[in-house]
Amino acid sequence: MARIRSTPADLPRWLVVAGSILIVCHLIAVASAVLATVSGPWVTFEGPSLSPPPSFARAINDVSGRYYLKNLKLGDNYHFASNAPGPPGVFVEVRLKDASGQLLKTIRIPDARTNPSVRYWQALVVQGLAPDQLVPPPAGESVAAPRKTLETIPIWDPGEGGTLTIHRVPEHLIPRDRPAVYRPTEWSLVLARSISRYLCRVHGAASAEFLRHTRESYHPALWFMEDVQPGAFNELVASYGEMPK
Amino acid sequence: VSFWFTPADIIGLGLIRFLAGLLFIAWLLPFAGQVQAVFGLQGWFDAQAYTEAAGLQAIGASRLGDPTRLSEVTLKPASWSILYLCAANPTALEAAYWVSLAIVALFTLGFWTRLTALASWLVVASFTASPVTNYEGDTLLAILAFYLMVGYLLLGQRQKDLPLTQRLFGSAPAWLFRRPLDHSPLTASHRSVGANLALRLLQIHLAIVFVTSGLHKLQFGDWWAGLALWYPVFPPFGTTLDQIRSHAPHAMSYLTILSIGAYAILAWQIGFPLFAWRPRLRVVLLGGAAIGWLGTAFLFKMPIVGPAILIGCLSFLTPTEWHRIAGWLTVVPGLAKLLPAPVPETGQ
Repeated sequence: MARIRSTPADLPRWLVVAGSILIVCHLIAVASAVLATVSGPWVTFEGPSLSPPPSFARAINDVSGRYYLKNLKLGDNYHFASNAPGPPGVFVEVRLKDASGQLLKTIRIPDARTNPSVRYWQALVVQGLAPDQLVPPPAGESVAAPRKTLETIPIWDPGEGGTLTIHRVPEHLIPRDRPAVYRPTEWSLVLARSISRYLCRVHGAASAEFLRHTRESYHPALWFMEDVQPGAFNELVASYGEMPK
Repeated sequence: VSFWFTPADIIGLGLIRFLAGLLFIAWLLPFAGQVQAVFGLQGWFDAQAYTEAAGLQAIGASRLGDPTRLSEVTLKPASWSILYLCAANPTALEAAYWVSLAIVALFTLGFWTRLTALASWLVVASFTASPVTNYEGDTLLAILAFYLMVGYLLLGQRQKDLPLTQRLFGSAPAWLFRRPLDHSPLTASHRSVGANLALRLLQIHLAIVFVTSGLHKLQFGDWWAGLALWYPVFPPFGTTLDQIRSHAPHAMSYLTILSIGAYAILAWQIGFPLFAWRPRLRVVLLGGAAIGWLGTAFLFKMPIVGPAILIGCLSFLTPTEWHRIAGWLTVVPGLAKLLPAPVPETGQ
């Protein structure tokens, strides 16, 4: 019976050297992807701040990550989102409407009727809608260039019944009278529009009203508090507005 | 050199292939009936969204260091997928899905493993390419598929009298059915540098994953405080405030148990290289992985991560340990015929 003739003794030296070099290069690429990651936020004199990755790792990863690991699907930095404790709970409600604005159907995502794996996939998708971005207060007044308009950004505004709605404002008109101003991430806007388009196509709707429901995680301190502030853990509804087909 | 280039009995690679293949199938199969929605260019994430997301990636890369743009920075990078070739055609996409499942099934059973290993990696890489989700389950599947492919591409290539068909396609089948194998040049009772190399790379890569993930957890105060497991126990939309308050009389007991659990996870992940290669500490390696499976399944509701971690940890087992397990499995009726015989230590 034939055998695989491969022992250290009968491996040519050049093959061992070449193999060793390839292994070292591969592991350096993997390690550099891990290190070439922003860390934090850390406490600094200027407030919470992210720290940039070490330059050597970034330099290596700029090449190995882009041309090697990314194509092998090994470019992850293993800073998994699930490592962050207490993400807010999220689900999405999509109200599908016909051309006259009549409600056709309301769909909840994740859909409890699907199998657990697909439901988990849906939960991961809508989790991407949850984080909002803090909008820094404007540093000064902006003036538009001739025949140009100022760039506007979408921010969350409290609407009827406490529902947040998206309101586009020029950067210099970002409200200064609020403790913090938040905006939806660009990613969540892309996602909301895409999901709305898909559901409209599938259900023959003309438009979709996209509502994100979130609730902050409960904290263990609740066990030691006499009273909890009313409404502290109420569901927060944020409307991405009516999306066309 | 001996760590990487010592020939090893291929039983380890074969059994990891079989278990990982089952996992790939269990991961893919639930998407039957949802293929268009999940993977199609007219699905949840359509062609227009891909175009818009590509613009965000460029923004994200230029905003490194800006805490207000963190969510853009952490977007999963767009990458290739063979599904993109057919994602616009529903029939072709459906066909690609079922062909992919068939390929993975053939790989799992050990048919033409050189070819099906490569194809299975293409399948896993393609089905995890969507930028919509970015979680550890996809990451671990991609790692398993990649190193299994490396192992089966290298397996037996230095054998001079290997028929061309087997050099190109691998043996058929490689492990699961022992009797046909006895007449094949590539039987399970062989040693291979390629098998050892693939498993060593898998081991090192997994160690990097676990240690990095453990160290990343230390960036969050709730892990230091031992409170991290509190949150999945009381999910925001699965628990009411009254339910939580009803546990208040036992708060300290709860928190003590949860903090021990959190620190056990940190110790297992960060200390992983200290016990993973020690046969005497197998109970720590495999016990931790098994508990991790239960935890990720029931606490974090992650269906794929737990088994992927366990299979990854099984890759640390030595051939002797695999044969011992195989010996235990022979008590299962019919299984004895499928399991390979041990390789004598002096075998070349």
